[in-house]
Amino acid sequence: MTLIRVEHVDKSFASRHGSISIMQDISFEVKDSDFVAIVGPSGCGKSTLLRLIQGLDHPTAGTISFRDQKIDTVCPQMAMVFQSFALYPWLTVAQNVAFGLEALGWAPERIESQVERYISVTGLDGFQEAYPRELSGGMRQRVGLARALAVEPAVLLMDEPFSALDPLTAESLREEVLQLWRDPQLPPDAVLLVSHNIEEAIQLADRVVVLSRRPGHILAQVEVDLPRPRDRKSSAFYDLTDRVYSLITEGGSAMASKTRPEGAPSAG
Amino acid sequence: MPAGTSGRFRRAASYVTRGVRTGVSRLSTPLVQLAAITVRPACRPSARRQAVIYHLSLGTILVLVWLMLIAIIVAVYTVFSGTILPSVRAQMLMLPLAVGFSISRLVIAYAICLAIALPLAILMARGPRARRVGLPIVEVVASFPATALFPVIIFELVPYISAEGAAILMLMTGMIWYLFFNLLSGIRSIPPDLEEAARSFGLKGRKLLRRVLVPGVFTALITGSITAFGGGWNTLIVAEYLNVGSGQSLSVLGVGQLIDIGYAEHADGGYPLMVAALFALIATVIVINELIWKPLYRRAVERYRYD
Repeated sequence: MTLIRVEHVDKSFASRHGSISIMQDISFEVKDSDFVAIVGPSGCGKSTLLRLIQGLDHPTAGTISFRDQKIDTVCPQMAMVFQSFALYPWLTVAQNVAFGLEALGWAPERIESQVERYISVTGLDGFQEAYPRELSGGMRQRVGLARALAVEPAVLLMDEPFSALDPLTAESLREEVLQLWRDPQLPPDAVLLVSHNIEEAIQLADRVVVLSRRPGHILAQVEVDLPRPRDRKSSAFYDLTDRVYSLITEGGSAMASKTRPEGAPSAG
Repeated sequence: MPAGTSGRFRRAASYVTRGVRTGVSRLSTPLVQLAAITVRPACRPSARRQAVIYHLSLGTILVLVWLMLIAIIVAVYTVFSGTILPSVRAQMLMLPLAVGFSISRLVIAYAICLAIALPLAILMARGPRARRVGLPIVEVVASFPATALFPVIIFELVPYISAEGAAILMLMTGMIWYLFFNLLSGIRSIPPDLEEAARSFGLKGRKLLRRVLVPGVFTALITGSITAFGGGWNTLIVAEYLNVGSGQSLSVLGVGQLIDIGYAEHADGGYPLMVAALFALIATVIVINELIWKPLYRRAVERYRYD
């Protein structure tokens, strides 16, 4: 079943030099139990695309729908995890996790049990009363994850969630996200990950949507049919990584020289 | 000099220094402990209760010190330069009440300032168009010396808003810009992701304001409030008593007024009133800083700061 359908989406912003096109003619789908990654050079509009999909911003042209319903306000069936964690420093871990539930108007008793559940799912037991400032980067992102999962979203949107973490912490969190996604008892049904890290995308996703330099358009959708757990050192993994790399470098530079308007700032 | 005498002297001197040292350490140890309690994060209830007790006891001590200070000034003056005139003494006895009036006036002026400055700052921080149009206007108005307006306020507005209203209006001119500019920069420095995260859970409008923008601007609000009150104490001296000649004057009971009256009549026995009122003002500012602003500022830095 198709969860998210993105059709011919354009996005441009008004600027002093006229309108700047961020992305052009983006179309792809996220199906039930998909793990889709969007990769591309920085400035290609990956993060903007994620915000359009949740309804935080609107496309200039084209449509985005969730379960065949056009998205025109923020979609409560999706929840976002941020690169910067975006935790509230004045709230404890438990209060941060409860934030989304309170925003959605859950009853206080239900919030409490739900918060307990997702604090334990994300391995934050014992840190309920701590403040984000007192936690390491990895623990903070667990709070970000717990806050997003607590609203039981159908789709988990992740915007560079591991980029601000050290490699070891990032690796263990990636594994946990995979486990959560595979667990039928737990949300989410599907994950949409934005990353500039191609290895990360291929390690996690079933399908990698490769975007070009700005204005971003889809260069290819690469199916990743490697068995899990995936071995980053295997030749199949290496071949896929190489393919995506060359797509971005070749496609990106060819496009950039053709379409970048005179005087516009360069991408990145 | 025989050796015994110098030894006795040295021993006596060491007794004195030891006595002073233990005395100082006995006095300072509880102070250090109390300071440690307030510095510790107030997330545990026991620590919070101790902090409350600490501030209450500090408050009592400071108020007692304040009263003693005034008493000492009056006593010293009486001893050295004869008696205080009964009319002046009557005004000096009004000092505690005057301080109360001045504080109330400042609090009212502050509340009105906040009610104006916060929405204005939010409007200008979040709307590029409002900022482009409004900010230059605000900057010009804020740079205009408010004291130049005071005679106008007295001549034109007192009949409509009473002396009390005019005093509060004048206080506001000395307070509002500190609040506004601190709040403006505070709102603009809230990390955009914090707002985005809230919006991604469907928060908007007033709820977004209450859950993210208001706590997000807390540190700037405290800094702005401290400076606004600083400006307010300063303005009190003109706002509570202003003689613009030709029989037109404004006078409302307050510590600023008593300083002014004492100064105006200093040659006619008003001097002790001026000094006592001045010390009362200084002591009040210190008490309020210690009891209200310092704990709030500490809390803001501990809890509401972004990394």
